[in-house]
Amino acid sequence: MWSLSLRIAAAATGIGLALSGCAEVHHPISPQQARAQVVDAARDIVNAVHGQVTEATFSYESCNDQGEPPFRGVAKVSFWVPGVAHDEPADPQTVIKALVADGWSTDSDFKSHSPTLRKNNVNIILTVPPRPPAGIQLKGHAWVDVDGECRDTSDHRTDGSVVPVNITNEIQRP
Amino acid sequence: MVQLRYISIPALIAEAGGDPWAINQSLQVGRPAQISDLAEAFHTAGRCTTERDNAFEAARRRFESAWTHENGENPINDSAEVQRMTTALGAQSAQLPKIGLDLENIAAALAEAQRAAGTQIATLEAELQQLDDLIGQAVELEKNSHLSADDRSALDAFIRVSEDDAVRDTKAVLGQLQSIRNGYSDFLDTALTTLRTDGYDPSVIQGADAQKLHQPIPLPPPGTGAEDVNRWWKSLSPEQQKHLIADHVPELGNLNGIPVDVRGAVNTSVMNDDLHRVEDLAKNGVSVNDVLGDPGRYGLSPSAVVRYNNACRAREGLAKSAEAVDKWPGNHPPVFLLRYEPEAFGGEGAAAIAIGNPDTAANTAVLVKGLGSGMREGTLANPDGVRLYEESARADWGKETAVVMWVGYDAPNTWHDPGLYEPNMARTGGQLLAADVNVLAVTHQGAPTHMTVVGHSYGSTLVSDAAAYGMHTNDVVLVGSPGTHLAHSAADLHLSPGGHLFVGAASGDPVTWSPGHVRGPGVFGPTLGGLGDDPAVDGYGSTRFEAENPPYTTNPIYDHSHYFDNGSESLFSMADVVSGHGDALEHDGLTAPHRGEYGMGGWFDPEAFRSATTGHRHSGPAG
Repeated sequence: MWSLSLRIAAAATGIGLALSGCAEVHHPISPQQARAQVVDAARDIVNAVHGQVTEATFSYESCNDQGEPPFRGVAKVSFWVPGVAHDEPADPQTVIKALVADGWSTDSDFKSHSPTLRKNNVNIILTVPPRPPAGIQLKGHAWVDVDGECRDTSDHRTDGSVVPVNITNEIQRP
Repeated sequence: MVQLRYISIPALIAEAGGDPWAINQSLQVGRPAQISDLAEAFHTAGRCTTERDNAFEAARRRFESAWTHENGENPINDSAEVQRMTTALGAQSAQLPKIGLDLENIAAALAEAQRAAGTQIATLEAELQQLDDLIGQAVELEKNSHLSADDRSALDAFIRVSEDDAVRDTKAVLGQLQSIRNGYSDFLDTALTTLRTDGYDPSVIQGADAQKLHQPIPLPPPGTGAEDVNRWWKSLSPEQQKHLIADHVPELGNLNGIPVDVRGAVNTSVMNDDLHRVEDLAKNGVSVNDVLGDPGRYGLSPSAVVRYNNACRAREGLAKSAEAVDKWPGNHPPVFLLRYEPEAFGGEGAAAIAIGNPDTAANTAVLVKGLGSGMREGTLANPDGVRLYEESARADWGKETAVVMWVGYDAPNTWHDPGLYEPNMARTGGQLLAADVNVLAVTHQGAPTHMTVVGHSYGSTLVSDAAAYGMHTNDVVLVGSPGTHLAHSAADLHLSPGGHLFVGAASGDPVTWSPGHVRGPGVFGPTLGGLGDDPAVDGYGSTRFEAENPPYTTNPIYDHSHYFDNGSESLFSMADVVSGHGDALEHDGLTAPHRGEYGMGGWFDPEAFRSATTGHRHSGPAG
C-alpha cells in the first residue's frame, strides 16, 4: 500500500507522463509473440479440460481505457465440456479442477461461476454459467477470456487487428 | 374542352411545349370537399384551443371561398377514420384537431389551385375562341376570288399572327398552370409529411388530393422533433418502410425518432457503400492501399477517402461489438450502427454503436469516452463497451441489456488541446449527447428502460453539461472525472426521481485531483484548471464506489486508465448501477468514503489507504 505522500508524489509524476503521452513498457514483445502467448494458452486450456471448441477468436486489445498502447493479445473461447449433455449446464468445479491440475492457479472461491486463474503471466476468467431460462439454447457449456501480458507496444488502433479473428482451427484438439 | 374550327389544339400543345388542359385536369380530379369534410370530423372530435379554432376557421374560409362545389360525393368514411385515429392516439390527444387543421389546409390549397387553374383555362379558351373566330373570318375573306395579291398576303399575315398569338397565349397559361401545379404539389408534400409527424397515415386521401401517388416519400424536414419523426415513421405502411430502408438515404439513419433497428440497417448500408466505393476499385493487382495512395487517379474525391477510412473504423467497431457474450457461451446480442456521420467534425467523424437493442432493453447504458477518443481514432473498437455490456448483463440475468458506445462529439485530442478549456466544445457536445440520450426514450417499446449515462475522463465533463441541457436519465456514473463544469452538485444533474450520481475516482488518478482542491506539490497548476468541481468530494451528493487499481507499473497514469478492466472494482460497480442495482453497491461492499470525509480537506482521500481488490465478477443469477 502506498502512503498518501507517495501517492501525491506519484500523481505529480503522472501529470508529466500524461502530458508526454508516455506509458513505459520495460520488456516489450512483438505482436506475433503477444498473439502466440494467448493462442498457446487457449490451446493449453482446451487440452486440459478436453473441451470441444464451439467458438474461438483472437484480437489485440489496448491495456488502458484510452485505447492507447501497450496492447495485449486476447482470446475468447467457448466450448462443450465432455460427458455433459448439451441441454444441461456444466459443473464449474470440474472445469476448475482440470485447469488447476494443468498448472493454472487461482485464489477464487471454487463455488464461483466465474473464477480467475493464472499461469505463466496469462490471466483467464472462466465462466461456467448456470442453466439458462426457457427460450435460450446452450451453444456451449463455458467460455474463457484469455488475457495476455501488456507488452506489445505496437499501435493496433487503426491497423484492423482489433477485429476478432477465428482461431478455432489453431486450438482445437486434433 | 373548347371546340375550335381552325386552330389545332394538338398543334398548339406541341408548339407550347406542354398541355395546360392535362395539368388542369390533373388538379380538377381532386376532391377538396371530401378532404374538408374529413378535416371537419377530426376538428370536431378533438379538444381544441381557441388558437387552433381560429386557424381552422381561417383555413375553412379559404376552402369555402375557393371551392367550386363540383363533385359532391363523399366516399371517405369520415367517422370510421376519426374512430380509427381516436383509438390509436387517444380521444384527448392534441393530435386530432391538429390533423383536422392540416387536412383543412390541404383542402383549401387544393380548392384554390383548382379555382386558379380553372380560371386560367377559361381565360385561355376565351382567347383561343376569339382568335379562332378571327382566323375564320380571314379564311372566309380569302374565298373571295377578286382579292388582290397584296390583300391576300395581308390576310395570310393576319392568320399567321393570330396563330402565333394563340401559341403565345397557350405558352403563357401553360407556365401559369405549371406554377400552380408545382406550388400545390410542394405544399402537399410538406403537408403529407406533417400529417405523418402527427401520427396520421394520409393514404386515405390519396386520389382525393389530386396526386396520383404519394411517392417518393420525403423525410421530415430538418429540425422536426423526435416524437414527430417517430409518428411519421409509424404512419408509413410496412411496404413504404421497406422501400425507405432499401433506399438507405443517409439522413434517415441519423434521424432521431427512427427505431434503432431501422437506423442500424440504414447506416450499415451507407457504411457498406462507403467501403465498396474504394474496395471495388482494388482488383487486377491493385490494392486498397494503391487506391488510397493516389485517389485522384481512381476518380475518388477527398471526401470519399475520409468516408472510407471512417467506414473502416465503424466496420471494426461492429465486428468487435458483435463479439460480446450475452451471459451464455455463443449467445451474442445484436449490434446496431446507431449513428454514422463519417464526415462530421471536419472528417473526424461521429458515430454510435449499440450492443443489444436499446429499444427493447430493460437496462440501457450510454458510454461517453474522453480525451483523444473519436471515430477516426478507433474508439468504436475499444473493448470497454463490450466489457460494460457483458458485466452488466451478468449483473441482472433476467433482464435484457444494451450499451451504446457514443462517439458523437468533437473530443479534445490531448490534455494540451486548447479546446479542452473551451466551454463551447463541451456545450455543443453536451447538447448532442442530451438529444441522443433523450431520443432513446422516444423509440423505446414497452415499459421505460432504466437509463444510465456513463462518462469517463473528459466524457464525464460532457455528461455533466448534457444534464444541464435537459438530458433525462435515471443514473449517472462519472469515472476519472477532471471536473463537472456546469454542475456543482449532484442536484444540478436533474436526475429522474430515485436516480443517483455514482462516482469512481482512483485515489492515484491525477486527473481527478482537480486543482481547486489540491495544491499539494504545486504541480497541479493552471494546466489542469477550469473543468470544475470534483464529484468525489464529500458534500457533492454522489455515491462513491471503490475504484482502486492494483499497482501494476510505476506509471501512475495507469490509475486513470483502468476503470474498465475486467475484474476491477470499478467495472463491477458500474455494472451494478447499469443493471439498476446501484443500491447493491453497499451490500457488495463496494461503496467508498468520499474525499475530505472525517472533517479533513478535499485533498484527503481515505481510499489512498486501502489496497485495491480484483477478481470482481457477477457470477450467478443471484448477482
